[in-house]
Amino acid sequence: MVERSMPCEHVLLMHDGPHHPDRAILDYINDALDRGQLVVFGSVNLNVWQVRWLSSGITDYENNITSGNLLILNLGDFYEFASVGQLEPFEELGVIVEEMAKQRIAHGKSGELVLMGDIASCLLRNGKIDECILEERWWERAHHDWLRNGLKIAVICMYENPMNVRDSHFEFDLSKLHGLLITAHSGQNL
Amino acid sequence: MISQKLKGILVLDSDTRFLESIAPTLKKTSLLATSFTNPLKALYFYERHFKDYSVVLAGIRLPEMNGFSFARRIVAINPKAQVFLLTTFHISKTEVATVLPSTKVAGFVQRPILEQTLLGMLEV
Repeated sequence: MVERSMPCEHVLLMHDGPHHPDRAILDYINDALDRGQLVVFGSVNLNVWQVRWLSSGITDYENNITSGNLLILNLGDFYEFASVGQLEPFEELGVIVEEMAKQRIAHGKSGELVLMGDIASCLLRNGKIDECILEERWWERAHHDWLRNGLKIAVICMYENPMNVRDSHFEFDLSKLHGLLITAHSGQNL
Repeated sequence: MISQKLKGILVLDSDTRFLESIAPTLKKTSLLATSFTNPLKALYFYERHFKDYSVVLAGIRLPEMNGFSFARRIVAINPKAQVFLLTTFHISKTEVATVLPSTKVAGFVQRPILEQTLLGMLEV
């Protein structure tokens, strides 16, 4: 049984990467949907294969999409901006996320959201360490602000394992920016 | 061709550089165009002049309220108003319609807004 994140945490989830998508990611999504939370899953390189993997692994995928409980996003635009240190689109995304939470509450649904994305991981993989930290700091600040404003929004940053970064400061900074670190291997969560 | 039904466009954004950048294109349309940087001032104006402005273009990040709240208040004043929200990334109305069911917008427009996009919004 996967030990899943609590609703309001900023999580660093290490997984085995696109060629070995572990069950932990799907477990997080299914668990959040079971709890009535809105899941926003974003990927920088969203492709047909990934959508097929999600649609076959997520319970009641189509219904969750059409019911507004699940949103799959292509984060390509965000990656392009983040890779040059521009975070204005993230500020707009933050407004949209807050609006989603408020509208769900207004419609009698849970205002809890789970955001999952891999932008930071892609930045890291492409050697953009400073930009990766900058982007993670943005999420940490946004997450903190949401908590302070009573919004229950979990942010799950998906990183491919291993990170292959020989920089202890980076690893220290990265871990400091997350409230919870989870490592999953080949379908099993440790 | 610009619709004969359209009388004017109200533009709201906190970024004055953006407002300056679209001014020449708006001028080409020959439509009545009025810009604001503050949503409360824009709403105050719109309540009094909504019959003259059928299209509203607004940023998402605004002082005092966000673009979604602004759009709802515009549509409450004038249900026939077509409100477009400005974003710096691509987003489609159909993509987010189910997760933002109370959103009263005609669509999202990506910055920097191209002349042909703006003119397209104003076509019949």
